[in-house]
Amino acid sequence: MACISDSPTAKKSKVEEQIQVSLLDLPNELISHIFSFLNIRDRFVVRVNKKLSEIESKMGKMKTSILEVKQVPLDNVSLLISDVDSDVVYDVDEDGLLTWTRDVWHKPSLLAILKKLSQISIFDILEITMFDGLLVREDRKLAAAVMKIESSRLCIWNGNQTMTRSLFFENSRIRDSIAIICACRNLRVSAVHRVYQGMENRSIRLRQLKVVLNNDHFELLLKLIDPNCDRFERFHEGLLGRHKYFYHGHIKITERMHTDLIDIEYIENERKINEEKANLLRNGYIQDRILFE
Amino acid sequence: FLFPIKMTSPRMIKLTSNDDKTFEVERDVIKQSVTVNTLITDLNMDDEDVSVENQMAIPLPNVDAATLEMVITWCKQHREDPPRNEEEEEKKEKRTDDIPEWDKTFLDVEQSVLFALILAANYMDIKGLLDNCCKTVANMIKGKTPDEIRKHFNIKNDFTPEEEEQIRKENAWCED
Repeated sequence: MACISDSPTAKKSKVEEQIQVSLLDLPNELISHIFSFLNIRDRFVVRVNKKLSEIESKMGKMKTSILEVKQVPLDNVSLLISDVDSDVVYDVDEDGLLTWTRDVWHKPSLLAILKKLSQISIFDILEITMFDGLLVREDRKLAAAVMKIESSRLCIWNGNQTMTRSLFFENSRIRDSIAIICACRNLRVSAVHRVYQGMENRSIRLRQLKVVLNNDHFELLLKLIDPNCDRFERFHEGLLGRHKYFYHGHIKITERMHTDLIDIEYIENERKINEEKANLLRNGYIQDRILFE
Repeated sequence: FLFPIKMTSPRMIKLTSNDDKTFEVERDVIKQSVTVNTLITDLNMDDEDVSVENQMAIPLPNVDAATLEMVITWCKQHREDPPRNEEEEEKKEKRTDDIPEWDKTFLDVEQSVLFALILAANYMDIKGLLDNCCKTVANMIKGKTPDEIRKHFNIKNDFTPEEEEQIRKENAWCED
């Protein structure tokens, strides 16, 4: 190393001269860069003070906007959400939601997007919501591609997805939250139960599991969880001479498990399903999320 | 006929640290710094008619001598590295187990030195050095508990009890 001159002012030893820099002295963008090399577990754990927590929480949001603006090829894709089945069109431009309608559905573009999305690491995509299982009905390969995308949350609306035990179990391992809103027609209750058990014995680390089931599925799940079912309120409905049993309310098992919340609700009818859907949209539950039509 | 043989010595560049120490470094070595490279071009310092003695030194007001010396050592070691394609780098999987052995040994230094290197690499815009330093810090974080991270980096817990409880709940899923 050629150090050719020392000025008279540079007399201090190297140790004395050295500026003591700590991790917190680095600019936020450099700390973000360090965090970008961490996996999901370590990015949660590294939130050890306010500054680091704030930096970590901003990282996901920043990346989501990059994804929407730069990384998704938008040819043949509409930015409107259109519920194909009910003809309801949601005005979601400001929410930054990405989806497409059947009219502009173009399989090569769709596959390209899915491929692109599947290359992005966890947390870049906050949530994938599949409405009505359209993809699944059309093409099993597309459904498989969607399920492989490492979003932190997966939400399936009224899907026809065959939720087998292994598929659900596999998804629970690559996501931090799963919501199944309204019973999938082919939902295997045993699949939900397996994930529930996994959370209980800590082999599955979901932060949130939300399952909204119809009566039959709900009752079956409760029986799997607790064969006695004594601690759940059961009431009798005798409308129009029909005898039907409902289990009432939510099951929240926050204390027993290392998760924020487990919601398992029953669904009474289609009207309630639509109310739930509208509520979630209205309350911003799926804002800034990416929706799959 | 006898022709005079012109000996071509490597082009040298002078860099001055913020504590007024001046270093001479080969042009070919320091080209890895985008900041210095741009300055050399903008200031027409590639003019071969100007001898190194008459050449002005490039001031680096954000880098001290000890750190600059390390940066130059790293650049010398990596002078033969192929140029980085940033687009390709962006697409690559973010890994921390691909730090070259020489860099691992080189970056096995006090934390304050490592962070000073990060600041210098960022200021001088040397992506390879910046990434390897950041990966080294990431490796220090990996697998540790929050308390271990606080102890390792001397970070004070400034959460309110409510904030800490919230973080603890959120972290519960990833506790072993």
